[in-house]
Amino acid sequence: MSDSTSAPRHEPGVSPLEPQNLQGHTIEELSDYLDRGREPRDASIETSPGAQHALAALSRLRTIAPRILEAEAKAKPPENESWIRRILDQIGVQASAGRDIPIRADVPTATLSISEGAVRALVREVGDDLEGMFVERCRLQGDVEIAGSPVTVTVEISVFRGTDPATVIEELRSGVVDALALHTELNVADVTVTVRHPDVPETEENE
Amino acid sequence: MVSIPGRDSLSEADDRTIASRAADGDIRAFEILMRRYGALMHTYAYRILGSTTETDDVVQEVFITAWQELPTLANVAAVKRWLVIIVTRKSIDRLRARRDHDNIEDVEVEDTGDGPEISVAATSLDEALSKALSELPEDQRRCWVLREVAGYGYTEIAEQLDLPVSTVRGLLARSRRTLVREMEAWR
Repeated sequence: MSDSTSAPRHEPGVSPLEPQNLQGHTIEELSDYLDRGREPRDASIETSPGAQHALAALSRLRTIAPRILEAEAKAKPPENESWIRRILDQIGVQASAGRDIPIRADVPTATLSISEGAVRALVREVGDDLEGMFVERCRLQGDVEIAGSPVTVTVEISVFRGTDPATVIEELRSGVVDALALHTELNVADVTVTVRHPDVPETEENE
Repeated sequence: MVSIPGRDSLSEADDRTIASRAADGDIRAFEILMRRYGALMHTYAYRILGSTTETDDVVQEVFITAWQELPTLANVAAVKRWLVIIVTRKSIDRLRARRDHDNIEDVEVEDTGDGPEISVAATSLDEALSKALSELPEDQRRCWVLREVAGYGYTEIAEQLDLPVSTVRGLLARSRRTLVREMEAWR
C-alpha cells in the first residue's frame, strides 16, 4: 500500500485485467466464474497464473465496492436542515394516528378524543425518562374507541447491558399506568412488558 | 455501571432500535435515521442518476416511502440495506421516466464526472476508486453500481436499463478493467 502522500504508480500493462495479462481468458468469463463460486472447477482458469491474478483482483474489487460509496457518503457535508424539515413536515401530515380514543367532555355537545398514536408516544416518553432501556414498540389491545372498555397495553423494550430487566420492567409498568391515568381515560386492565433485546451494548456499530 | 438515559442516547442507539421506534410512529427516531443515512442515499441516487438536480427529489421520495412502509419491515435491524433497495428502485424509476419522456432537452443531466465532494488528488484507495468511478462513462458506472453495490444480476440490470444482456456484460467488463487498474496502482 502506498503511503498517503505519494501518488499511485500507473505503470502501463501491469494491471491484471489488461488483455495481454489474461492469457486468453476474458473479464466476462472470469467474472462469471467468480459469480459461480469457481464451480464447476475450470482447469484452464485454475492453472493459469494470469487468470488467477485477475480473479484475485476482481474479488478484491468486489470486497471494496460497498466501501467506495460509504466513503463518499462520509465525505459529504451534513444534511441540509431545510431539506430534512421539508420531509418531516410532509410525513408529519400523514403520520398514522391510529384509532380515536374518547375523552369525556365537560360540555355535553362536545366530542373530545386523543389519538392512539399520541398514547403510544406517551408510553415511549415514559420509557425515555427511565434509565437503561428503550421502548421499541407499543400496542393498545381492546376496544379503545369505546369509553371504559378494558385495554391491555403491550410494550416491547430493549434493555442495556448492566441493567436489571426486572427493575426497569416494574418501573416502566407503574410509569405507564400513572401516565395513562393522568392523560387519558383508558381503562387499563394490564400493562404487558416484553423484553425483546435484553443485552444491548452501550454503544453499537451502526451496521 | 452503565446508566443510560433513553432520551439523550437515542441518537446513539443502533439501527434496530431506531428503526423499530420509527416504525412505532416516533418521528424523532425517523429523523435520526434520515440524518444517519441521508448522505448515503444521496450518494447512491447520484451514482445511478448521474445528476444532482434529481437526487434531492429521489431521496425525499425514498424517505417518505420508508416512513410509510417501515411498519411492514420484518427485520428492522436491516433497515440500511432496505433503504438501499428503495433508493436503487426509485433511482431506476426516475431513469425510466426520463427515458419514456423521450425528450432529452427537457432533462437536465449533469455529466461533469466528478462528484462535488472529491478532491483532485486522491489520498486513499477509497478516494482514488471513488474518483475513478466518477470518471467512468455514465452507462458503465450505472451498471457497476447496480451489480457490485446494489447486488443486481445481469438480467435484472438489462431489464431495468433497457439494454441487451450482452451490452451489460461488456459495460461491466470495461468498468472492472478501469477500476482494477486504479486499485492495483495503490497496492
